[in-house]
Order: sequence, then structure tokens, then C-alpha cells
Amino acid sequence: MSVAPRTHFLLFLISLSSRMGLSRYIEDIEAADGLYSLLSLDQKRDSEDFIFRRPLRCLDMLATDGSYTFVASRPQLACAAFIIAEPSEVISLELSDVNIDCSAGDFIKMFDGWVLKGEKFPSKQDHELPLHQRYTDYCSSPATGATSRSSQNVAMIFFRLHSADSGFTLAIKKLHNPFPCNIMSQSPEGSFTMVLPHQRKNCSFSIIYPVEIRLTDLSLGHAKSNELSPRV
Amino acid sequence: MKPVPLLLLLSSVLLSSHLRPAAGRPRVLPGWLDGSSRLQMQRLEESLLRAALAGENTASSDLLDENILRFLESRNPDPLYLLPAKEGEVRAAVHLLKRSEDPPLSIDLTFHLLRNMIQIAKVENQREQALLNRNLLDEVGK
Repeated sequence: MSVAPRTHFLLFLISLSSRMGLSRYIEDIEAADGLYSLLSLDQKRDSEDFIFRRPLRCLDMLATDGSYTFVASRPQLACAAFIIAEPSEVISLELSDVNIDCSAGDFIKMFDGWVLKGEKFPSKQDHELPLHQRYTDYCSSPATGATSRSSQNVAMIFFRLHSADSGFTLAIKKLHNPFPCNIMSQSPEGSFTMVLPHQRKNCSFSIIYPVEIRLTDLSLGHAKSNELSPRV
Repeated sequence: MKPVPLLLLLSSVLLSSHLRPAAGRPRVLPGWLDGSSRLQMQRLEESLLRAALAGENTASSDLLDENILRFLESRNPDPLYLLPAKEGEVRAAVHLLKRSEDPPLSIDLTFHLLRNMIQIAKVENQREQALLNRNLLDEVGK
């Protein structure tokens, strides 16, 4: 036999034996998952399965996108949650399912920054907005007072609930900020480059750890030289 | 091509497409990956909390750390009542907050407490990101 018919004959014989083989496949019970994989990443994050949920505590620090629900088991008169994000992110807060009694003295206030021992970060000199505009009070107008967006990577929410079983849900979403101005550092080490494209403003970088800071690679627009003078 | 080899080729292709299917492997997630075992997740969370707070070595605030750990682990405590070590300071803070009806609202936390809280929040964030990555890779790797 010549080569080609022999090849075909052998191939035929092999395929006869394949009838005795076993195949394996993965039985997909959840048929809907096949369509789910067609969703984009953002859609998946928004879908119910992927939202991070946990109860909110009276004193809390939040760093993760998600939905936090607070339900008062007894009167809570002094509660606050700090929210911190990466330096190049800003925080968007949204209240929902709010069940409070504003007339009884309950309040939920969102602050654009952090307040610690009476001191505000960023300070009044550094922040663009006046102090009263940095507070968003839910009780003063439930329609507009339910959402707030911070100007830097920290935000805060103060709340007071007088009666048990009152509560609310806070949704946190972090948005990208390409040129951050006032930054609160999350970690005690690392390096950060602050870029201010053609803007005249005061910016700050705060760090609440005992550290050694070194300024390098300075590039100032109109300065005569970029040398850092040793006697500063 | 000659008809006989062509016929052979065609029949071999047709035969190989009729593989006998065996029992399929059901795609069941292991018990600890789905949301049913919240208790295990909580234990994991608590051990992570302990690991995170164990990094601080300040001798003077060890007692404080334990108290912080206790109230941060429980679900809905009033933290101002669970810190016997700094009672005077905390009472003053509570009075200050109760007196002020309007802003300035302020929380009287030391930087030490704040740093611990940031560390716990970062651990929580990394754990959530890892879970998201794992779910995503499960989807993509199918």
C-alpha cells in the first residue's frame, strides 16, 4: 500500500478504538454561570454576589468598598466611622434604608475629612471648601443629604441614634483621583509623588506614624533651581 | 484523492466524534468557599485581628490593646465603656460629646488606637480583595 491510503487506514482503525474510550466533562449544575462569565468586571462587582457587606460598629474604620449596615440595639449617642482609601482615591458615600428620628435628636453627618480631638484634617487652610460645606447633614435635607463625595482619601461619618432598632445602611465606593492634593498616608513606609499640574493651591501629605521623611526629586515650576537648601 | 482513502478518513472522523460519555465531575465548591460557613470566616477574621494587633510591642499599652481587641471583635459595643485603662480620659470625651449638640463633633482617639484601627481595616480590605480575585479567577479559569 502506498503511504496515503495506509495513513488513512490506520486513522480509521484508531478511530474505531475510540469508541471504547471514556470522555470526561465537567457537569455544570449552575447553568446560569455560563452567562455570568460574559459580564464585565464592573458589572460583576456591582452584582449582589460581589458586594462586601458587614454590620457597621459604633466606632469603626472602613477601608473596603461595600455596604455597611448599622442597627442600634440600644441608644447610641456618640458614634463615628472613619473611612480611609488609597492616596489616589476619593470616597463616595451613600446612605440608604435610613430609619432615624430626626425630630428626636438623631442625626447622621458625613464629613469631608477626619476630625480628631477637635482638629480637622485637612485643615481649614488646606481644604478648598469652607468648613460648613464639608458637613453633609442627612436630617437637614434627606434628598441631597444622603450622598457625599470627599475631596481626598479620608472621610468620616458621625451618627447619633436615640432609639433601639433605628439604623441605616452606608454604601462606600472608592473613585480614582489622578492628582490627589491632601493625602493621609495609610502605611508607615513607602514613597509618594505628589503632582500638581498647573494649579495654585496648598496641598499636604499627613502621616500618623513615627517616621523619617525625606524629600527628593523636587520639580518646581518657576523656581530658579530645584536644589533643596540644607538650612530649611 | 482516491475515493477509498477519502471514505476511510471521513468515517474515522465521524467515529471519533461519537465518544461515549462517562460520569461527569460535578462542580461543587468546597464547603469553605461558599457563604454557608460564616462561623469559620469569623474565626479566621478573629485570628487575623489578633495577628494584626500582635505586631504592636508597646509595653505600656498592652492592656489597652486587649481591650480594643475585645470591643472590636464583638459586634455592637459602645467602645467608650470598655476601656478601663483610660477611664478618666474616656469619660471626659463622653461628656464632651454629650454636651455638644451641634458641631464640633469630635472623637477623642489616640494615634495609637487609630493606627491599630487602620491596620485592622487594611487586613479586612486585603482579605476581601483576595476573595474577589479568587472568584474572578474561578470564572476566568473555567
